[in-house]
Amino acid sequence: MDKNVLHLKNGEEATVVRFADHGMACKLLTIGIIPDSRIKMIRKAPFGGAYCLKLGNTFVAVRADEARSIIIK
Amino acid sequence: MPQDRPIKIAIIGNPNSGKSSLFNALTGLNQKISNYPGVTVDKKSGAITLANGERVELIDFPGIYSLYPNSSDEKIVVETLTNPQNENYPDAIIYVAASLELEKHFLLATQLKELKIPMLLCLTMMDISVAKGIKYDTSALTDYLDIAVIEVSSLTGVNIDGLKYQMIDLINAVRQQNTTTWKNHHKLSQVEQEVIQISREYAVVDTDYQALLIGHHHQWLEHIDAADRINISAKLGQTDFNSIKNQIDETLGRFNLFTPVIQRATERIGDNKKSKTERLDNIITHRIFGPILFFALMLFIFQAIYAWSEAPMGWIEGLFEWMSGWVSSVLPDAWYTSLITDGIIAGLGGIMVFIPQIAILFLLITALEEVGYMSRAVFMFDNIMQRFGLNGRSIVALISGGACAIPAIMSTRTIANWKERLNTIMVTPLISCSARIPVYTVLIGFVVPAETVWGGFNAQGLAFMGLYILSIVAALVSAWVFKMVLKSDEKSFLMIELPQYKKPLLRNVLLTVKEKVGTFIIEAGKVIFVLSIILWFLASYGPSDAMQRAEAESTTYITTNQLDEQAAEDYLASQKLEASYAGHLGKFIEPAIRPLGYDWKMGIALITSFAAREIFVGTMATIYSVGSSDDEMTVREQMAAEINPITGEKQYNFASSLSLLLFYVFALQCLSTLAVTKRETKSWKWPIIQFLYMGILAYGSAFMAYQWFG
Repeated sequence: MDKNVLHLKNGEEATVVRFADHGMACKLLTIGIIPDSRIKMIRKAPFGGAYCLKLGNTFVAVRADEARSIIIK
Repeated sequence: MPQDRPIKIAIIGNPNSGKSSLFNALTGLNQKISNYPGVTVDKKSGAITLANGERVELIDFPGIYSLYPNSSDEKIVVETLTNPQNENYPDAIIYVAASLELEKHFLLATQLKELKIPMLLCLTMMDISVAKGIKYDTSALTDYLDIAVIEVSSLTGVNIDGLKYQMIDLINAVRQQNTTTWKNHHKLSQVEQEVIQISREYAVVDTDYQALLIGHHHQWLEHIDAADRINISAKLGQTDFNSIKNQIDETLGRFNLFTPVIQRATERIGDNKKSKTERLDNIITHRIFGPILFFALMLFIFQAIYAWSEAPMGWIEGLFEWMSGWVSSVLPDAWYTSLITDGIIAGLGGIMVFIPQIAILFLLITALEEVGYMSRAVFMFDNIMQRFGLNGRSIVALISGGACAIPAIMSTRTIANWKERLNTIMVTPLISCSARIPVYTVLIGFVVPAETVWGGFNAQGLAFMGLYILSIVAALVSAWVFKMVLKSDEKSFLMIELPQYKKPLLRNVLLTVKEKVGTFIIEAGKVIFVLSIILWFLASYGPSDAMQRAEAESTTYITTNQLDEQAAEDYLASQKLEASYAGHLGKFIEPAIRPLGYDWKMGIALITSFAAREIFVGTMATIYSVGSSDDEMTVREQMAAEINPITGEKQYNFASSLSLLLFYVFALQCLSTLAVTKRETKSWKWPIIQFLYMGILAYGSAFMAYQWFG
């Protein structure tokens, strides 16, 4: 199975490979989550459901569905 | 290029690019808010004069990541840029990018370049990137984009004047219609060229890229009419065009081209240690401390609203009383004097008195937004909100609803998913707004005694808080019901940037507060203005024989009981109100409200409350012949003494007062809110449903309360 962003522990970093879902990919690309870029898991939201990710100097919050569609290595 | 109108320059950039700060720094107080044609998104524009005497109009477009938009806010940018005939179509563009993370901003920059509109790139937040040790070789960026690049800081004001000089060159380029070679940042594929050809059959555009965008977005673009949408769709169906796949290819293609350029142009002097923002977030969005901090902040905000607004509210009340007194002293005692003082001035005063509370709430919310906190709140509560069919972004609307539902409903425009946005609009008016507070203040004493409970807590204060919590719970439960009822296949997204924490810019905060308060005054003011004239008429006139009889009887009563001048006036006013159309209406609806424990007098108050809830207090004062005193305590004493003629018991006992309180918690007695809901949802359906469901909640809970405890 492909690893996705949800498999990252807090503080872990990985490289984006591709996206599992075209619809999500459109949105994720526009905020700068692109293949070959580095992505870091910062933390889960206090009540779950959303995740804070770091790309370069930017922090982005995404939902579990969105995070799951980001395939990493 | 026509010489007779000012050049229009669009300010475009990603959300959090520092775009609005730059716009504020350039225009200052010369801003005006208007509407984009046909839609309800606010258009912010401002005129400035450049060093060469040229007047230009700057338009601050909503923040957007790419020309493939999500929310209605973002769509307006594409709507405008794909239609050269649009009245807001810019002559030139200032593209704003935060210098901290340039790659992310370049996607839109290269897309905009294809529109062949003269453009300049403005790198903001120079102060932050310098502090972080990031430097750019701007000449390399200029070479790549073929446009001028300028670095500024809106915070310190560095180079803002330099930008204004650069704008002169930009305008010259517009005037000369510079048709130098336009560099392509995206090579059109075979299928894209087919799409362009199809779109060009139905729309007049300047460039191929606009035609391509129309191919992608024709389904929702307003300037493409319904028949053409069908035609374009049909023809696209015969090609291999796949909008989503194409978007991905185009976006990736652009990134592949510019990423190496930016990397070469960037020089990093600093180290990559954990940023200040990351360390702050360890606490601010912490699993346990995060929510605690949030609730502490909310408690502080609402505490501040009441504590800080008391004095200014008194001044405003005083001002309107003075105006009313002055008008009646200079004008003769005629119907129009009464219309001006009791109708218009009283009605407008009722609105203006809430300005301090609304201003304080938005001052604090905007400051939190500026610092970067609000998007953290969105992140923290998105999951909970989603369970109720809302979006993390709904939290901003729900908090604002604590002051006034009107600006709160308008703030939902950033929610991309229509169902989540609609749901937020529907439930926001349930949150107890400022106008309910005077009503709560009068009634709460009949329900809860003024005593101290549980070691130090004021029982009435707790009850007050209880009403707020009740309104929040009601909003969430209603949202959950709407979630179950409303159907939608539209995908819902969160995807929100958590910007770097930064010092709030006072100018930005104050301009936003000014804007929000302005919206409130205009939106609420225009409805209440008309309504207070109607209500004045209803309360001042009645079937002529009834009014005359009331006056004659009052005169007899006053002389036999030898009332002093003030008491006589108050008595006459109450008798006239009973004989008026409003009084008749009150009696007419009495059978319907009897099961809730209300008499016709409360009926009148319910009717007049439709202008704005707080009018309840004033109406009660008139009914109980204490019209000359606006003091809430005087009104309460009179109400407390009232005996119900049928039961022989006190009219305002525990049951009927609780029933009335609940009615005011739930009922949508605000025509202005309905008007705003109508405008934001573009249909009468939703305001009607909103009015009905809140009315049923109000009637049902009031009925149960009265029947149980009565």
